Amino acid sequence: MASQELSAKSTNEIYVGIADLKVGHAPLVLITLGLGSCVGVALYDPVRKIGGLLHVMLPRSTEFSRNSHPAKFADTGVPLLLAEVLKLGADKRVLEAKIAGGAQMFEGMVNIGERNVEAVKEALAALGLRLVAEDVGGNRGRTMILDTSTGKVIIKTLGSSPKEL
Amino acid sequence: MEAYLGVLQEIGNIGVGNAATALAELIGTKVLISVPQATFVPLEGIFNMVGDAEEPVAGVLVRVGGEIKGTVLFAFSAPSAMELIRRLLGEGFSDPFSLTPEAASVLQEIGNILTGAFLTAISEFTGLTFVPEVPFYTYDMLGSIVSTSLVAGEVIADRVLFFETEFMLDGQAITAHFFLFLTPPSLATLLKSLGLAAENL
Repeated sequence: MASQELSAKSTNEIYVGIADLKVGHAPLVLITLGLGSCVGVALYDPVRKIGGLLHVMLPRSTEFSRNSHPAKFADTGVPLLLAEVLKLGADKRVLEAKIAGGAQMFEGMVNIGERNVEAVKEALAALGLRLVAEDVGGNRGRTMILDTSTGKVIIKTLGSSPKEL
Repeated sequence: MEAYLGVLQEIGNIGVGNAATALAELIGTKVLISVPQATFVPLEGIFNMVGDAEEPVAGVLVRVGGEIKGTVLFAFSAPSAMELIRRLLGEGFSDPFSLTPEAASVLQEIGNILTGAFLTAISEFTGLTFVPEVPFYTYDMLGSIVSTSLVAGEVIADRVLFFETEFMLDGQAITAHFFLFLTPPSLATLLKSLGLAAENL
């Protein structure tokens, strides 16, 4: 029921779930909800207006024996996101990366958010991708929105006005 | 595997009934529960199951260890959380962002008591041992609390066992969503405790 409601909001909007990634070109708007300790990664080609959004849950696939789901992990999700935007025709040389999330939502709990952010940055660097903006850490959950028409990334948090990244 | 969900729904029902009784005693009012739903969902589809992922909620999270692993999550709407605190503490708060530690601990304690009641009933029924950990509290968007609950409870398999019910007190004055997230191996353990073999989990 909820999925139909979500997709019915606007035909241009595509939702990216946990351990999920979506790619597309203008005028699509890619949205991921519920970034807590998870990290959202946006890749955008401003020339061709092609973008992708990834929602990773954990830092490293190598820490798990059953890891058939690449979008779940930073080390496998980021390369997959890159491969998917390249498939749509994006040029790697102009790609810009923006990341958000990695919060420590609950005080006193193991800070997996920080490890997720580190692993995402490592994965971006290993692929030679440029990180141009970030909104990470803290203790608030985030919604991340990538507008492929403009490349703008909007971050929404509870109790604050939306901000552009 | 879907055939086993009915069994699981029954077990969950027993636990939820016990939790509702505990809540009724704590608040001193009648507690109604909705028919619990047990579903297997792919990780990426979990937000479609929980309701509005951007809804602000007061969330109490309890990690469960022992013979099964998972997370129990109570999500109260802001007005419900404020009303619960007022009734139990006798002190009113209007802004969930500015709760005193004492007020937040009222919600944590409710989470503690309800999780204990829920797990005790299931433990008696299955003979399994559950170890609930200390409750965590935050006020934030439901989706971010859910995703963090999954990671915290190591519910990170490609598919998540999702169990949900709603508590209603005094008509609709206070409502709370109860979620239980479990991994497939935990479901297998539950079924095995009942003498059922679960294949292909």
